[in-house]
Amino acid sequence: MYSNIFLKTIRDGQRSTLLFSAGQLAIGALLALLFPDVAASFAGMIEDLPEFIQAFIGTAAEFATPEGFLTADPYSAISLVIMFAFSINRGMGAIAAEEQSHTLDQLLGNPITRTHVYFQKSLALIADCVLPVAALAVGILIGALIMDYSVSLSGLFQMSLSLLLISYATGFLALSIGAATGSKSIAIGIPAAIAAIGYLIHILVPLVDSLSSLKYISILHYYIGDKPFINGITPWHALVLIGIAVVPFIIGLYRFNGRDLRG
Amino acid sequence: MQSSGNPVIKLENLTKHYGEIVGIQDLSLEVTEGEVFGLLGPNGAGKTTTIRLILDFIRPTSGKAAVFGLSPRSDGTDIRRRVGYLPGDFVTYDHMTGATVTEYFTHLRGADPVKLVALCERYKLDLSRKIGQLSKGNKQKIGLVQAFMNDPDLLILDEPTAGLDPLLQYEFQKMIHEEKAQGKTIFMSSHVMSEVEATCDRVGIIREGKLVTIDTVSHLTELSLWTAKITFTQPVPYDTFNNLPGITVTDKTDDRTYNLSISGEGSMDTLIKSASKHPIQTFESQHASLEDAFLKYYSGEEAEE
Repeated sequence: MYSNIFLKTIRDGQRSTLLFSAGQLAIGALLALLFPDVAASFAGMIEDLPEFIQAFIGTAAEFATPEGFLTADPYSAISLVIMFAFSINRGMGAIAAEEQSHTLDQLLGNPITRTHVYFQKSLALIADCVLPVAALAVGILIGALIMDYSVSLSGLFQMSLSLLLISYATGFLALSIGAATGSKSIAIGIPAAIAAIGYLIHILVPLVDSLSSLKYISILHYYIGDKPFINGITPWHALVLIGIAVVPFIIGLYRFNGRDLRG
Repeated sequence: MQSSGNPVIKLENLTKHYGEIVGIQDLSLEVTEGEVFGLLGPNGAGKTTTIRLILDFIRPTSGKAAVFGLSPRSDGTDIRRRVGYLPGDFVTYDHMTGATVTEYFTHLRGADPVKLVALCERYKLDLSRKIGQLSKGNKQKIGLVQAFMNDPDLLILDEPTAGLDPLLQYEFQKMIHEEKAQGKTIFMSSHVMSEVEATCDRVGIIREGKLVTIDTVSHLTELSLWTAKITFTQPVPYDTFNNLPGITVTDKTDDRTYNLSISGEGSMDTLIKSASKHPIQTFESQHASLEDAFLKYYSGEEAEE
């Protein structure tokens, strides 16, 4: 497990990755188990709610389907927040945490380049995010199987892909900011703020008409704005999320190679 | 083995500023193949900055560094392939064992840890324990082992004996002699004068980022030469010694007892001739240590002379 930086990074985060994944699996299964009862109870209630609230949580018709129900929770709520926390923490840990704990000097005292470290840490981030996202989907499938209803596999895959992409966006923001600055607090703070503000805008936009154009500055719009579980992933939304990961990745690499490392 | 004269480390007017703060200023030196070079200086003098510039962890404001004739910036991996490095205040991955740390670095270096077993035996190091459970001294041993284990051509050691007990410090000195005998080049920073005196061929003394002097250990101690304590049977006027070139009255207990230092153009002959004009009760003298030389340079005396 210690034959390269990628494997060591995966190994270092193994326990936490498994715990996060177990949590996602349990959340997915629990919500899938609850769907038949909760959907029946809420369907009538949602019909009586104002349209703008339906726009936010989903219409009664959508809520009555597993895809619509699961889009609202866990994918718009708890599991998304968990993935934000997971990916930002991993991104921050890649370079900034190693630098602030004074092990980066020792690592780079070996015959490897900063670019090599950066790429290996990035690959580990890419791999790390897959398991909790997949566990959530598996949990949903288990719950649906137990309660004997079907879930669109294509929708679940595309929703999972979208969750993975937004996790990469926030994770790579943290990684690249950490690499560019060497600061753990900045590496956590900026992506967390982007996620939180995006979340707030995503909640407010359906409620306030005048804010509708703001939805484009919310990272969540590109994640779930077009409801990938129901309608499939929108290619350009996926591209925006990839861009949010790739552009900082390139800038972070450039800055990491050019700056002084903290002693 | 004597040094062959090929420069392994060559620094030319190397300067590093951190904003307004001077890390090092116009530092030039050469370390030749097979040489043990010690960089001495107080905390914040620029020792670690120099080492981090050599290894390309930080970039110079001006000047240049070369290691094995290569640039740390563009040929860093080629340089570090031949270097064993011990960082100052060595810390490593607390959750890993000594065995996994050395395994990890072995893979990253792509070189067999040919000296690993012998080093662990030498330092009585248990690699099965987690780093986080080790004392500071044992962590430092891990640092030394990982630096030496691949038998590198150049060892760059930042405060190598920090945290080691005297026996292990002695063991470290023996190891440096063995490495030197094998023709290895060693560049180390240290606060421990006795260690530098016992191991280094040449010493650079650095103060406030500037290289105050660079010389062989033997010449440096010769330069600071001697200290003397003379007790006379009757009071002797202060002017007897005060105006002698290169002789300084460092302490005067009373008019009969003088502590003096002799350096630079001063000589023992001058001192004895002046003192012998008065009846001497006791005369003690001793050779100054490198520590005296260091303190002298650090206090700025030599630089101002």
